[in-house]
Amino acid sequence: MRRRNLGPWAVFGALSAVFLVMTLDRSALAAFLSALFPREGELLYPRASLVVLVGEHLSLAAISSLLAAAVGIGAGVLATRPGLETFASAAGRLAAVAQTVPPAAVLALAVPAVGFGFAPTVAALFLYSILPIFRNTMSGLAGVDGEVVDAARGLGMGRARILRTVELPLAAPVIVAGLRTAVVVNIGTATVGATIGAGGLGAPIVSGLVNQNPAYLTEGAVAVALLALAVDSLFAAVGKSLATAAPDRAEGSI
Amino acid sequence: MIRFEGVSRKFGEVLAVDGLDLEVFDRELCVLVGPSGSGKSTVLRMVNRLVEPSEGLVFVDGREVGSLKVETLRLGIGYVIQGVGLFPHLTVAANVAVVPELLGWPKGRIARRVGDMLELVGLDPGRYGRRFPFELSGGEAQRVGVARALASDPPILLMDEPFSAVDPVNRLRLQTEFLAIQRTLRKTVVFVTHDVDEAIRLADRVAVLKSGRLIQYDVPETLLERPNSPFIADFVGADRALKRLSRFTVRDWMQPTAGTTDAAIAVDLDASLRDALSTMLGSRARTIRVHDRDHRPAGEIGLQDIERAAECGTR
Repeated sequence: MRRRNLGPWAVFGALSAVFLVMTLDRSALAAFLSALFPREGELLYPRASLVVLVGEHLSLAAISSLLAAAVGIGAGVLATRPGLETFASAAGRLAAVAQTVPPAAVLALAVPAVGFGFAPTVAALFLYSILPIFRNTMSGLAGVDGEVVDAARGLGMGRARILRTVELPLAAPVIVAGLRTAVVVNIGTATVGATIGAGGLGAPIVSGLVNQNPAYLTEGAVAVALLALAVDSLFAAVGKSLATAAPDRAEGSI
Repeated sequence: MIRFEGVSRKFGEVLAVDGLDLEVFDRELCVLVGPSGSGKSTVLRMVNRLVEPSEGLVFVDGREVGSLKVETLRLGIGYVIQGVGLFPHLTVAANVAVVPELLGWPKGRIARRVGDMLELVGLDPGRYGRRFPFELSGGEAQRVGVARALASDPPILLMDEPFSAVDPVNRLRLQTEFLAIQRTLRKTVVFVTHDVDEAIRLADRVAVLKSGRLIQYDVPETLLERPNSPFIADFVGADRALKRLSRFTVRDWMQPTAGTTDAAIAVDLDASLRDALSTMLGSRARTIRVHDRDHRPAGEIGLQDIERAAECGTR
């Protein structure tokens, strides 16, 4: 009796459509910007097309988020295994410290170590986004009904199988909520990477600020905002369908 | 057969089970009963190694459980717990299929078995198979729990307060149904409860525990007639004669003379004589009608039938 709710998917579809038109149709974008800034001579950021910038931006956010997901989910699983309570509190504190350091500071510190560009930006975003994923994985797994796990053990399932077929599916809505927070924050924060030459949608924003060109700035800012909203709505839709699959557990974060 | 030899279990400084020697006989329903903190659940959980003994040995079919691979041991033992522990993200059918799937049965055999098991516990596979646990009542969930535990046809069944969370009316029905299932399947069952009435009603043999020690282990009739200590006498209560009546069903003692009594009061075929007596006293009738599950008349039962049962020692 699973009901399919298509609402969240429709929101995702609409946002991605707007975003794609903006990215792919340069003349439409130029028309939009000239309507906003009629006295501006140069409307489109000249050094790279939006397609390239979006590509750079997405790889920054995606690579850092994937790394953070691997580490955050892995640590969250370890932290909830019996006998590893000390690890849990240590990892929790470390992740909290990593999130307290502002990404701009990480960038400044990373440049002397690994140089300018892509790598230090990914490192900063990675560090910044471990905490929400780790914390949600932990609380999602801790929230799985102990009786259900007891029944699984009593029926003869091994530890790995219980994790894979019982605990992770039941914790999935909460874990996905953590991923959502991390990825959306990373998409926004990745703009900072432009200050150290990582490219991405931060580049037209920085250039617009430097050259006092509001059209460049708007191009970058609107694209980042739409990208973040589209990805956020994608996670909302995925989270919703997971919550329907495990109906007694509400979707949510901590 | 399950055997405990000098088994103790400590949790920190607390001795939960203290020097237990106990033998659960093949194909018998053994009820472990006692007040809370008596260690009865711990005893049960040591059979499938959810708890390991601090001292002593537990044997299943002559083999020490510690010598077996824990998953292998558990796959051969059905397990039902109080909160049911159904997997909330799986359908009823998938829940029942868990152990056969772990055992690697072919798909067709699993599907047939799931259908059979749901029918056994009185749930229509077509109606219930695709439901999720949150769509079930407490009694239905408990039935699915029993179906899941029996799915791979294990010789042993462990039941930890399986009917405690349902209301009294449904509990009585679940007990009756489970007794009927047990009469056909004849599993070796270890059943934990804190409810003496439930113990007396279901057990082939009752083990009464107190503070981790076994106080008396006997068939219910002996327990009621010859309690070995003031504790047991107190625990089974002053209404021992009534408790004995709860082991007899109306079906076995009624007069199958349908329709001869015009009494308005009726009792179910599967009700216990204790319930029948209570109904009589409540309605001031010396004879009442008996009907079956579908409220069709099946006969009548009188006070003299109950007296006859009370005088008769065994079932």
